[in-house]
Amino acid sequence: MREAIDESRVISGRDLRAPHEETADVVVVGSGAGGAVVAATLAEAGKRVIVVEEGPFYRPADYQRFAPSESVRRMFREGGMVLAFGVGQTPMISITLGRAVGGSSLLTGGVCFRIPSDVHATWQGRLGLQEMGERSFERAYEEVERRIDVTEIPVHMRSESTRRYVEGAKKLGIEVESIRRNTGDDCVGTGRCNFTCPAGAKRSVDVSYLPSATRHGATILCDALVSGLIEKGGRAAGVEGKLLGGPFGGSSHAFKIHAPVVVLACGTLHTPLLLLRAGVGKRSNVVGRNVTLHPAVRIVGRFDEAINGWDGSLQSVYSDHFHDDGIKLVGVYTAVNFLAAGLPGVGPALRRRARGLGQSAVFGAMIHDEGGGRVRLGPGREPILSYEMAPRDLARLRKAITILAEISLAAGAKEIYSSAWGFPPIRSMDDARKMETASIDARRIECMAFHPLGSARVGLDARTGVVDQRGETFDMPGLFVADGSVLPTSIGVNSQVPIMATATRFAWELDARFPELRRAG
Amino acid sequence: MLQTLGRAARRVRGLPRAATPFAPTADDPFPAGAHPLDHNRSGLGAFATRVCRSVTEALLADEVGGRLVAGEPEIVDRAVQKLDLWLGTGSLQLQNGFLALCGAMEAAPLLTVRKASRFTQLSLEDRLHVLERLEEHDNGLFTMLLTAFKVPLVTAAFEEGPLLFETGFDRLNLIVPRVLRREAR
Repeated sequence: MREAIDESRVISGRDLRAPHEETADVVVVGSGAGGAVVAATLAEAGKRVIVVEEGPFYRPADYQRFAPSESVRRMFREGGMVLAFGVGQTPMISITLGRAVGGSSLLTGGVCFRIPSDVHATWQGRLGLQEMGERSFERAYEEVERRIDVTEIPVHMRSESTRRYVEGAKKLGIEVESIRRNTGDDCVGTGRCNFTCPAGAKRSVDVSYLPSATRHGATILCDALVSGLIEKGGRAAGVEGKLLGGPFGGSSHAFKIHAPVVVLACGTLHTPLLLLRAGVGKRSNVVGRNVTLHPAVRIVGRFDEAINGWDGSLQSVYSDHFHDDGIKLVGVYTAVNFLAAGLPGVGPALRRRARGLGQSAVFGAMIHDEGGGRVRLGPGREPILSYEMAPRDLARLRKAITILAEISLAAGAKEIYSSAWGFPPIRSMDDARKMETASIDARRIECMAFHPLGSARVGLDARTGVVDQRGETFDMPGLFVADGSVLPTSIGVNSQVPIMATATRFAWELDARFPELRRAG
Repeated sequence: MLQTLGRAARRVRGLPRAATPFAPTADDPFPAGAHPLDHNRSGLGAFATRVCRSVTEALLADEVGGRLVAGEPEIVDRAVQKLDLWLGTGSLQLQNGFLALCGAMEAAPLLTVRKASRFTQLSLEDRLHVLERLEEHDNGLFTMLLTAFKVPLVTAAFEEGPLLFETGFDRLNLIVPRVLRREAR
């Protein structure tokens, strides 16, 4: 169900003309998939909740009319130019993160997967996290999927690009299944979900969770950057920071929110910054480490006939045929101007290829990676993320490119532009196989990541993790983390539902313990 | 220390300054700089703007009647102006990082084709040659240098107008939702 945020409950740091100080039961930092869920769940349970968000609040009626690059500029962190710096033989990986009320949920493809059973089993078996098993998550998954209207994309909503993908996969004996997304029955197939949905079909948290939070009394303080935690007697007692009402979004006045419970949900890259500054997680020394990204690649196949891949759902099929190899195949598309930018060549070669985009299909894959990333405090307001891809993962990435090229050729593509910059187009199965073993500097591979996870992971104790299985930090009572940073390993699937389900569980637990937490605070 | 250097770099570049926003239309009510929440800070100084314009002319160059012609001036200007506003939304780290890349691009002729000239002073043919060499270079760092310019500039150039329709895109623009035929629903 889609609702609207009660705008009388939204305060913008741009509009405040003096320092701001408030008291609440719970302060949630971040309004994305994790923070919105915690805020709504606790507000509905009668708690006084304040959500602090660094980004601005855009009304859906406005952002649905943003051109793709304007969505990127206004709603993506760093205008969409966040990079994981590759260490050694690792591609530079472009990372998409939201920075607005609703966070990255505004900018996902809307794909909804639960955490695979084998991942839950690993968490329970190998890591000993008994409360992180599949059965413990069941009720939370159901709750999330109900609230964001998760439905399977019907076959008739597949684009011609995806149909070619399915056809090619079938010829190679690769099974393909329909994807579930959070668009209810409202998707009209505009094919640009990552840049907000012009039809308003996507149930991002600003139209699914935050409206309920504000209806139940929660306040959203946007354009406000949290710079530190307030500590009292060794416990979390609130947050402080700067309102972003200065020139060009610079800081204007200070603000403080006092609360006995603080929930950090700023995402895998920014939650560690606050933890590191507060000295949380020193014992385990894992804050900011073990970041997994699910690096993804795509190829563009040019056919002889019209494809017009922009007509249809952005993502509608996937395949786990190569699950044992750590590769997930996904049907993808994106706005045509972004596709043009990813084509090989410059000048006349680029123009010629761009003229063929109407005859092109796009095929994608992502890999289930080891945690090779690390978040560090940067010289300015943004963190520095480095990522060292394991040799096994690089091999998987290259295998994925070859598989995608083979599928594309089997579907009838005449020419394939791979993810390796500057490489000649692939025209035969032999070319495709050679790509897998050719000598290529990994930094020539165009690589994206949409699901950074794991920088403040759940552990059994302070030696192995940052938070316990209920989301509370070991080092600072009253301080919780409820975003993708707590997931202890790569999950190999899109992370929106997993983050929301984890946040739901943490919020339920927190609600049950709240009287005790308030007394202690 | 790094913060101080960053502030010094900003002073050298004379930023921030407000950039000219684009005019809203019925089809595109919120183009770059036209939303009430846009800050319209500039992210490119004069030096970086000159480099970006020079790169964009070559990136969007085409063959007309067997002759190489630079990208259409109005499309080039729009792409660079959008990048200016785009970078202006980012942090100082990002803006200074891009400034360093502009410096590297100016030095690219020496690094790729052994020509002791600044990129912006080369002929169109030579600029295109340098960009091709960057893309095909065995060292991925050179490829990354090209990508840092190519992705945002080409994205902006192909978002509207003649280049969008050159791709075969058959809707009014990239903003309007697709109209789904009744029988398909």
